[in-house]
Amino acid sequence: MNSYNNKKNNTALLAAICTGFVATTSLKTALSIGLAASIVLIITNLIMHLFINKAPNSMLMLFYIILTAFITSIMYLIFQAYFPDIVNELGIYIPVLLFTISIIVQIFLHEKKYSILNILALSIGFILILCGIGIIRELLGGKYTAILEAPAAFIITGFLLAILSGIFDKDKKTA
Amino acid sequence: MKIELKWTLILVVLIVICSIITGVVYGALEDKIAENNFETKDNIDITSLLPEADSLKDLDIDIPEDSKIRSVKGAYSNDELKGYLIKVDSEGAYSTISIAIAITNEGKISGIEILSQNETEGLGDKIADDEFTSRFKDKTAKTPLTLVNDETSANDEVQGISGATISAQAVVDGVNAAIEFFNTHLEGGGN
Repeated sequence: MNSYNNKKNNTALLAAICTGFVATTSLKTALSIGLAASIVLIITNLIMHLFINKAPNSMLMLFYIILTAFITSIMYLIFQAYFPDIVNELGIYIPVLLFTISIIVQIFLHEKKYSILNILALSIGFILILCGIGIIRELLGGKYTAILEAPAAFIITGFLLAILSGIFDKDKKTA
Repeated sequence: MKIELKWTLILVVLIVICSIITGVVYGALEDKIAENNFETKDNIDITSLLPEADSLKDLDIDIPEDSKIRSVKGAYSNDELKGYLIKVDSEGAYSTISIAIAITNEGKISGIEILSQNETEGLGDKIADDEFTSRFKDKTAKTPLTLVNDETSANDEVQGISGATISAQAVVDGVNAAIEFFNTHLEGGGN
């Protein structure tokens, strides 16, 4: 992974993860939202390959928004058709989450050198952290219902970030 | 200016293409989605509402076109009619509330269940909780029920939910439609 050591960018990524907290009450929903958001990001950026160096800079965000909205709607339709139990659990949050996460990550990517590898690495990290929180909340949630409340996700993330930045170098904080 | 115009046109074309693809995908998945909604709506366990019965059978009854009644089924235990399961759609504050009502042969509501609703989260959606639906249990299905704010004093009263009057009223209306149907078509209607 390249240098992810810009503090401002890390904050943007953290905002994207915080949006995903809604889905982290169990591993299943966390994994599905993580995967779906990654797919939206990857397809959007693959299509954006056509425009990124040609379109005027001021219009890039419009293209991003339209493509993200488009892929998000299709993902939601697929969810409704093939994963009804996840739709029952999250409902309208699915498209809301996917769209918000993708746009926030897009802002993060906008300032970086564009590469599909970057996005892949980022997606994997994103899925891992959502699943991590999902597993912890699902396991502890059975004993302490407070873990299933929204604020617990922030506390768990705080601990996870502390552990991660303890393990890795301080510059390589891959949130 | 020239470049901007060119890219604006490209953007518009992109929007049109995206819309068309979304439409095509929806067309392809429409049946599947409808099927899923159907499953979650109609898969209910009759024994949870009417403990004596164990199976449901379709009845040969004409349902009035303009009524709230969606379907009526007979609840049987070993071919013996124990009661009826009536499904109604009632307009709530923001959504259509779909309710299943089980009425016994003796004309008593043995239980109701909210099959689907999309009311305000935290307020209106309390109608789907057991705490509210259990208030309909053992009410007589002779006269329409009324919604009251305080503790109930008569058998035809149901205590509402504070902050969710419209949603609760919609459920009561739905149940009343089922009661009326039961009294006019089922109980004395030759079945």
